[in-house]
This record gives sequence, C-alpha cells and structure tokens, in this order.
Amino acid sequence: MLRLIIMRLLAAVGVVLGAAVVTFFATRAMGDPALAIAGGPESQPTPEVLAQIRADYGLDDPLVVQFLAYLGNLLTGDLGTSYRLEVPVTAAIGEQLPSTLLLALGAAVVAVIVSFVLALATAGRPSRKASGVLELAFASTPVFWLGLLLLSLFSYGLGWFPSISTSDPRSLVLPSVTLGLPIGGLLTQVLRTALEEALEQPFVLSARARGLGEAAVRLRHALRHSLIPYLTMSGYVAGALLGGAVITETLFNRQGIGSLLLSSVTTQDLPVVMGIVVLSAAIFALVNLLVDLSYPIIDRRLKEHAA
Amino acid sequence: MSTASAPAIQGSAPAEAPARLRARSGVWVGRIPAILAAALLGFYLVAAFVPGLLAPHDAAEVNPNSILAAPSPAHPFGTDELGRDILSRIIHAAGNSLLLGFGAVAIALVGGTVLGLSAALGHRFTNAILMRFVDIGLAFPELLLALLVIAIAGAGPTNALLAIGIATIPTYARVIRAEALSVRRSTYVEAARALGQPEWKVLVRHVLPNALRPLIVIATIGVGTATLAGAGLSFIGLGVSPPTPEWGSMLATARSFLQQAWWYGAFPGLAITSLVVSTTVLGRALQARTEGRAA
Repeated sequence: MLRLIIMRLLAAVGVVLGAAVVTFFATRAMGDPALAIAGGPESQPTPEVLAQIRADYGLDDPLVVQFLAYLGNLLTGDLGTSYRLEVPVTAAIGEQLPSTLLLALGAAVVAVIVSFVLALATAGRPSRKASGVLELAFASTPVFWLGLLLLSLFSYGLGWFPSISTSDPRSLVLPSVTLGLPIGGLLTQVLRTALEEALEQPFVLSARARGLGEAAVRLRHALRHSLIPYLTMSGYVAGALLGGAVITETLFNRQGIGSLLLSSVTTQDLPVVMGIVVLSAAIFALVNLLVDLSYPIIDRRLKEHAA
Repeated sequence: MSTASAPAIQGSAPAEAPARLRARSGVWVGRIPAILAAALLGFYLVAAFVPGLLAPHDAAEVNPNSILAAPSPAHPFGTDELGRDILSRIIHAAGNSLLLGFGAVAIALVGGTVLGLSAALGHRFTNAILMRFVDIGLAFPELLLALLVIAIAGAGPTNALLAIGIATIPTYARVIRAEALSVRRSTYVEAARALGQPEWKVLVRHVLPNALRPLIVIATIGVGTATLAGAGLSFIGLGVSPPTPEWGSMLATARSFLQQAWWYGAFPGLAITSLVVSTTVLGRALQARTEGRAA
C-alpha cells in the first residue's frame, strides 16, 4: 500500500516536472517574457524598460541557469510571482481556490445523483434505450450551451435562481448543474454498462433465487460490483472539472480558479497559468490515489491480494 | 475467425434469440440513426462550403426594424441584437466552426501518427521517452492543455485551432502506437517480410494503412468534440471573435441578451450539439462495421 502511494506521488512529480520543462522551453522559444511582463506588445515599452525588466527577473542569465532556478523554486513550492497581479502565484491561487472547490463539489453531487438514479433505474430494462439517448444528449451538450439554456429557463424565465453568483447559496445551483450534468451523462454510461454486466453474473442469480427483491439485488449486490469501473472513470473526469470550471465561471460571472486562469491566459501571465497547471496535476494525482486506495475497500479480494 | 465464433456457440439460448431477431428485422431500422447523422453532417458540410445556397437571408444584413425578433416564418430562429437573421448566421458560421474542428483533427492525426509510429517502430529508448511525454499530456484535461498553448502563443482563430490539435495529439499517438505494435506482429507483415520486401515498403504499404484504420472512428468522433472545443474557446473569447459568425462566439454575444431573447442562446448551441451527436453516432456505426469485419 505504501509502495502504491509512493509510486503515485512520484508519478505526479514526474508529470509536473515534465509539464514544467515543456512549458519553460516553449515559452522561451515562442516569445520574449520581458515583453509579457511589461504588459504585452500593445504597451510598446522602451528598450530601457525591457532591459530593466530583464535585469530584475534574471532574464539575462544563461537559459540553463534560469531553468535550474525555476526548478529549484518549484521544488520548494514557490511558483513565482504573477506578472499582472504582482503577488505570489500561490497567494493568487489560494484566494480563488475555495470558490472553485465549492463549485466542483456541487457539480460532483449533481453528477453522482444523476448517474446513480439513471443507471440503477434503467440497467437491463427496456427504458435503457431512452436513457441512452439522454446520456448521449447530456454528454454531447457543450457546458456553455447548457448553462445558457438553464439561465434562459430558470433564471430569466421562471426567476427561480439568480443569473450571476452572489453569496446567496441558491446562486450555486445553476453553475453546479451546468458543470455536473455532462459529467453525469458520461458516468451513467459507465455505470449502466457495468451494472448490466454484473446483472448477468451467477451471484445475482443466486441472490434472486434466495428471493431477494429487484431493488435489493441491484443496490446490495450488482451496484457494489459495478463501483470499480465507475470510480476509475470518476478519477479520470475529475481533471475535466477544472476545464469546465473555466467556462462555467465565465458564464455565471463567478470568482474562482477558472476565471483566474482565463484572465491569466488572455494577458499571457505565464507564472499563474503554470501554477494552475501544476495544481491541476497535483489534484489529478491525489484523486487517482484516493480512487486506487478505495479499490480494496470495495472489493475485499483485492485486499487479500495486496496483503 | 475461430476465436470469435466459439463463444457464440457456447452462448446461452435466451441471450441468442433476441440477437438473431434484431439481426433480421433491424437491417434498415438499425441504420436509421447513422443515416440521419450522415445526412446532418452532409448538411453542415454544404453549409460550410456554399452557405449562400442554404441561408434564407444575408448573414450580415442589419435590420433596425426587427431587433431581437422572436422566431417567425420570415426568421425561423429569430433575429439578433442587430436584426440579423440567426438561422442564416448559423449556416454562415458552419464553415468557421467546422474549420476549427477539421483543422484540429488534421493536426492531431499528423502529430499523433508521427509520434505513435516513431514510438512503436523506433528504438526502445525513443519509445520510452516519447510515451512518457504522451502520458504527461494525457494527465491533463484537453482544455487545460489548449489554454496553456494559447497562453504561450496568444489568442486568435489560428492559434485556437493549433491549441486544440496539439492538446489532442497524445490521445491519437497512444492509439496509433498500440495499433502499430499489434499490426507489426501480425502474420501478413511477417509474410511480407518473408517475401523479401524492404523494411520501408512493409511500413508504408502494410503497417501504416492497417494501423490507421481504427483512427477513422476516433477521427470521426473527434471532429465533433474538436468543433465543440473550438466553439468553447471562442465562447470564452480566445478563438473566433465577432463580427465573424462562429457558433461559440454567437453564444458568447447571446449571453448579454438572454433576458430578452431565449432563441439567441438556444439555436447556435443546437447546431453544436447536433453536430457532436451526429459525429458520435456515425463514429459508433463505423466502429461496429469495422469490428464486424474483423470478426
């Protein structure tokens, strides 16, 4: 078990380092960072200003020295300073993180409820055709369009929910549904397939032979069997939440990592963009580690196997 | 052939009966979704190349007398904030939107093929290095990778296309590599070698075409998802920007007029979703066909 945790952490470090290497050299190959720090080509800085920036940020040093300094900072948790906000990247990200975590949590709740209800109700039944159409529609609907439709109907049409984000908890509902429904569609497909496979197994037949009702068979026996592929897929789509958050937060004028990322991309504020990429790699590794650790809890045979 | 038919013989009788029934009655019924999907895709392609043929109005024609007009026989999808016909704009936008999708898939196909084939056929060391980078790429959501490319290269339609293409290269590279590895071990490649064909000829005439076949399925579905990603980038202001018609940028403008005009937000999105659904349905149908042939 310890081995697994160490392997996962090493893999995460490898991913972050690889991303750092590629980004660092791609940035230097594509443009002049001093120009980006000065505010982009539109700001038309004088050569003296650019020279001053280069001296301040150590951009005159050999590329290898700069790269090693960058890696050293990265390893001590220093992600650098934002060109635009002029605060440490960690502070800028930390300030926006709670809002996005709240949104991601809301979206996860929506996705889990949708997938469990749809998959459990339709697996192996005639209604699976209708559910299949619904899943395809959910999974094919762009987040931004779904958000617009929900806003049209529930915010401007019926007036149930506010159209922009406030401290009112009701303002979290539409963004969560917007972000969670497409993921719910994807997870339903996985869970339904796994459930249908489980329902064919001999242990389900034996449970039915013991006189268990359909609900008990599905909830107590088939569901547990289907959770492993479901969890694997959940770990995989957890990364997609951040991508969706960019669009959802823009659409609902919400504060958060997504809107910070978008404004940093627009202004080419690379330290912040890099910081969010690193954060995303760390979250992805953490979620997948949790998924791996949960396997033996769900399937006892894996525990014996590991021991 | 033998491995595929063996389980069917052993299969239980109740599971077999409905399958046979479906096969008999569903030759045409089963193909209806794929035919509809192909027809819709054809419609969008015609719209992309000759929008004037399909659009009822001039997409740029401003009409101050019918600003944000509700859907009517004259304007089936209503009009926008300048009184332009939304249906005509959606049709004229098809070219720009599909260009993002097809362009990105083309980049991903070329990049993925080069990377995947080099990994599969190159030295063990090359393989290890290349696949580590592919793994790193796969660890990030595609939108995040695309945003990273745009942060480095800047916003705009060309860079948006490049960004989506680059962000999806790892997926294609992985599939190509796996296919090339399995094709390389197949008997017909061995036979070609045994007949004394030079190595490059074996690669070009036997390995490449067979490794590319499953990519057709992925690329078909990929056109839909890449177009969606492109519309997403335009929606957040990093791709095509107004007044050029594009589905995602139309929706971005519609956000400000949602209170007065639900149709403005509804119909351009319907175009994107219907495209993604049709490429998915078509891709799955192609997959079923190729798998059927392989068995």
